[in-house]
Amino acid sequence: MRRRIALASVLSAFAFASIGAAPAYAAADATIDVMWAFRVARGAAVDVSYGITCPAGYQATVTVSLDQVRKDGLRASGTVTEQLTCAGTGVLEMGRVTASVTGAPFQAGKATLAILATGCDDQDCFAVPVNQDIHVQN
Amino acid sequence: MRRILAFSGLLAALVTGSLLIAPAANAATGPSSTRIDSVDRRQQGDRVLVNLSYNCPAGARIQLVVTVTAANGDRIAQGTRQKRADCTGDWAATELRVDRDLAGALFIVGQATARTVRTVCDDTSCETIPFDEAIRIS
Repeated sequence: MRRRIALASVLSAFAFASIGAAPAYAAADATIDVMWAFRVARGAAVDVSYGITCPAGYQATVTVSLDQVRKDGLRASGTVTEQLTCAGTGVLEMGRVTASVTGAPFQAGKATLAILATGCDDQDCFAVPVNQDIHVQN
Repeated sequence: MRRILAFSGLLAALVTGSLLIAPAANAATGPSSTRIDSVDRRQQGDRVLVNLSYNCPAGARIQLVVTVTAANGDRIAQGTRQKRADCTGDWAATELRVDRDLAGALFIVGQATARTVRTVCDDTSCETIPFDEAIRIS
């Protein structure tokens, strides 16, 4: 009888521990490595390549923004948003940032890059911001 | 005592069951693709005529949103047009008249970039896929 009571107690404890453990949302790990940026179509856009690693099964949204003050003082900027499914391993992605219609075309040279990757599965989320200067190549 | 055992068993079953239920997967609509065949300048650059081919599963519906972006000196020319069509399962051609955004410049002949966002829907689900490609305005 005591054994049965002990077994019942263990099962109950396991059950409550399992239920209690589920909402303890640990932050998921994700990383972004910026690779390079190439000017395309006479500066109408820039292809930004980056590597992203995020937990398998997560649905991620990646926003890539590029801002540049040109040598002539005009401003070129643009943003692109991509959706991807995380593979659990590093994957190479490319976002084509088209220039804003109210701005100028991109030039080769220094620009400011901002990438924000966010993603969630059923229980957990991650957010990885990257802000850095980048050299736009021809 | 039997009640305790039964309660413990029920809790254990609930926990185990909740761990085994997988999140619902999005139903795929099937393979689809698009390609821009040609882009012609019209109305002194106020418009470009985009000839586009698409392929999607028979019975599905496709929505195409095409954005053309080009540099014109130190300004940007850009325009967007969307169109809906029924899928036949074979390649089909369509034509989109893309008028320029009046905030930007006129389209000129030369290199440009186009982003085609296709949304393919069947009776149960939709799938949205963006595609960037280099084009030439003739």
